[in-house]
Amino acid sequence: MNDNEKYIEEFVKDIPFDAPDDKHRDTLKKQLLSAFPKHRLQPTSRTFRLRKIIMNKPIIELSAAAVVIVAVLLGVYFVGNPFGSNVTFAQVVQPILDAKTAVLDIIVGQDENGPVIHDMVMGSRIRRTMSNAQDVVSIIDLETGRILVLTASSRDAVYIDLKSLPSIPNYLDSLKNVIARLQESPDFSVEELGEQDMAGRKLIGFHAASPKLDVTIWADPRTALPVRIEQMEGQLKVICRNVHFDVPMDQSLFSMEVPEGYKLQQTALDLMGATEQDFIEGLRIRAQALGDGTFPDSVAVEDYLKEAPAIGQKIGELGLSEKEQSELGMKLAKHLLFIRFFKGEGKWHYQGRGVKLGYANMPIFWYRPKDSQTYRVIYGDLRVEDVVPENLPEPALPEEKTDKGVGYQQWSKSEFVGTQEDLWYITASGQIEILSDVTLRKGPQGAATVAIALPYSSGTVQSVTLANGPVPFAQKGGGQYQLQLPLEKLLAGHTNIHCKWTLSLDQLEKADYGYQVTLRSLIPVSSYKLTVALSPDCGLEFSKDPSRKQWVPFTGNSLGSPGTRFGSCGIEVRKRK
Amino acid sequence: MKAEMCKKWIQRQTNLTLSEIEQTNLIQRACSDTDAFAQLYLLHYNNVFNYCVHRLFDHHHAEDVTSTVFLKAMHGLDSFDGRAANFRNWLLCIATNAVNDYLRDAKRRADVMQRVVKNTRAESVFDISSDDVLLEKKAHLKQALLSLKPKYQAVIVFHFFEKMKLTEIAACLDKSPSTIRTWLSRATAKLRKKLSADVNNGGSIL
Repeated sequence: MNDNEKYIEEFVKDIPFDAPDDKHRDTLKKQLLSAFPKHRLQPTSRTFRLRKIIMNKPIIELSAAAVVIVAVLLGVYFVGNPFGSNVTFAQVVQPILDAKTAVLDIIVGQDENGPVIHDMVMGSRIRRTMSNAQDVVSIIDLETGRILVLTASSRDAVYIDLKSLPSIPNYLDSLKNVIARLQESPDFSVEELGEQDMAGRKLIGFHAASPKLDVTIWADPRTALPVRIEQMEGQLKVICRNVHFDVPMDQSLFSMEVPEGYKLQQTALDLMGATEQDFIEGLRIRAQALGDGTFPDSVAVEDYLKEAPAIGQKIGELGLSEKEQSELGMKLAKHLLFIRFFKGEGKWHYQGRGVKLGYANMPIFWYRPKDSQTYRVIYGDLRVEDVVPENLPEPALPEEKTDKGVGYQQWSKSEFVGTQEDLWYITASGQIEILSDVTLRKGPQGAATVAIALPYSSGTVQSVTLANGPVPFAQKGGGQYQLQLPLEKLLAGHTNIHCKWTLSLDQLEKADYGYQVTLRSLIPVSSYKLTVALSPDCGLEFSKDPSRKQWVPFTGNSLGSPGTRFGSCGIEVRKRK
Repeated sequence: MKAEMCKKWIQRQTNLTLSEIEQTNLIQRACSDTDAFAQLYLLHYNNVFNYCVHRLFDHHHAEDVTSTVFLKAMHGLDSFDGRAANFRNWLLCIATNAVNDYLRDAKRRADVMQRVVKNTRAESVFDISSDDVLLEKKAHLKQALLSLKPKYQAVIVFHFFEKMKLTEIAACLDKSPSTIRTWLSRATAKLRKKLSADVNNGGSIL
């Protein structure tokens, strides 16, 4: 460097310049995307793969948005319950018993800020709208087992005949009969929950339970009118809130006639007919066509409901014909109905979050079919094996479940903290494909840029996603990266960051027993878990139990404040014999 | 993207790092996939904006030019036939031309100069916590740099602010490294002279 360069370097040092403005960046992004040359939006290779999946079976004649139909069906939460006839209960349920009409909001799952199903009820008919699909109205006739779905924007009308739906002459009767059925149970009990403030109102609660049903009713203590009903059905929580009875309504709102100018289609769906194969087919579609090759974070109904509009939009962007879109929607419907009307024993378990389609040794879903002694385990390559209970995969840690839904908080400190689970998948090529699943708990006020450090400087980040969307990242060198997080998504409760990175197996320290691994989280965390899995063709096996396909060599909590360093641990592997 | 171009890329990928492969795939997908384009845009927005603000000294002008750069990049993306490592250079090449076009308009240039002075005064008067010396230095730098030829402005900014090597600057400006070396030598001499003159007229800066 000559004198002139030294002079200028010294001169410009520390001169302040304006930093990029997030608002302009986001505005420009929107402008650019809206101006994106339409002719260049071609079907991707993924579309062709999808087309192949779809074309294996005959196409049905249906042009409505089937994803919306799925969402509608999922809200019919009482379908499938057997109904009794005795109707007696305490004072708070008397208005239900006397009601002729009702208006209520339904939430599926734990998230009260999630999509809301709004129902107007009269006799056997329900007029249903959803907060995240507002141009779609569904009229459900429970007596004839038929749904009319009207989409205002496309002027589509679809009749869906629901097979396996028991005739329900009156919606409110079904609610009454849930209570009646509780009473019939010899183990029936009612617990008074006392008064609580809920959404600014003082309500009195009653928890009524039997081995098969579980209902909590919250009522206004002055009028004894129920305003909120919470019901657990299997693994699904359904909340009815803002309940009002005997609201005057026009009968024309419940007409099953198709309005003029609408294009009519018809189809049928067997609610109880979804098979394991339907479920697997849906997993393939969600990973391959709707995802980036990895399985969805969740297969729970409530999570699908939240994602339904985005999934619908994604299907729309795949460049499929109307028929193909419909067929895809119906496949997804069957996939979800398998979970919705789960017919196995006990609970189903899903651990596919972040697992790549094709990971042969990663169990992603398991359940016990009715009257079976063994479990059906679905692996990452979508093959299914019958497994005896003692060989079942390890379920997620209990504390992880309680963590769910805590949400994201902004605090006064300058660092991001959370929890982390790593899955290290050793491949045949000598590479380790690593999925670091970081759940953010707290972060600085208004900050969206987070620095992460890989435990090995030679590691390379491949992709980072949050809420199924890409997170931009920049390499800073030495295994350090900077992520640009979408703050609005974080604040909306999407706190899981999936960071995929790779590392050569050679980079691990070799030991007599296999390899020694440095345990270091990407950000300061309160807990860290490492799972190691072996590809069937990687030539290695776990020394202690060669039949095992994955192993958890480390789980630990940070003592005191969150930290990044958890020491090291051994991975006991040897060459396959 | 056409199959031939994909093949070209695959053949070149033997020497790339995985990160580059990832980015190369992203560029490929960005030609026909808005999600991929959005990701690419977010990856490079800061680079482009920072270069523009170092050239124009005003974030409003820098944002205007940044918008132009990405619009041009979006429409010309399928003509980009290179590695991910070259993509930043390709964008900065577009940015250089866009900034030069922006400054070529004499009226706009005058406006930039005026805003330079106005902003500096405003910052000096109202921002009590700011370092007055640095702001004054910034004003001198703006006036001195903007009085140079555009090509000299570009090499100064690339070298001193974007910390780019001669070979990278050469790739951006489609010149040989030796030409860039000469330009940089002339540009630094001229800039020093102007800065020194300003300092002598207005008091000590360094």
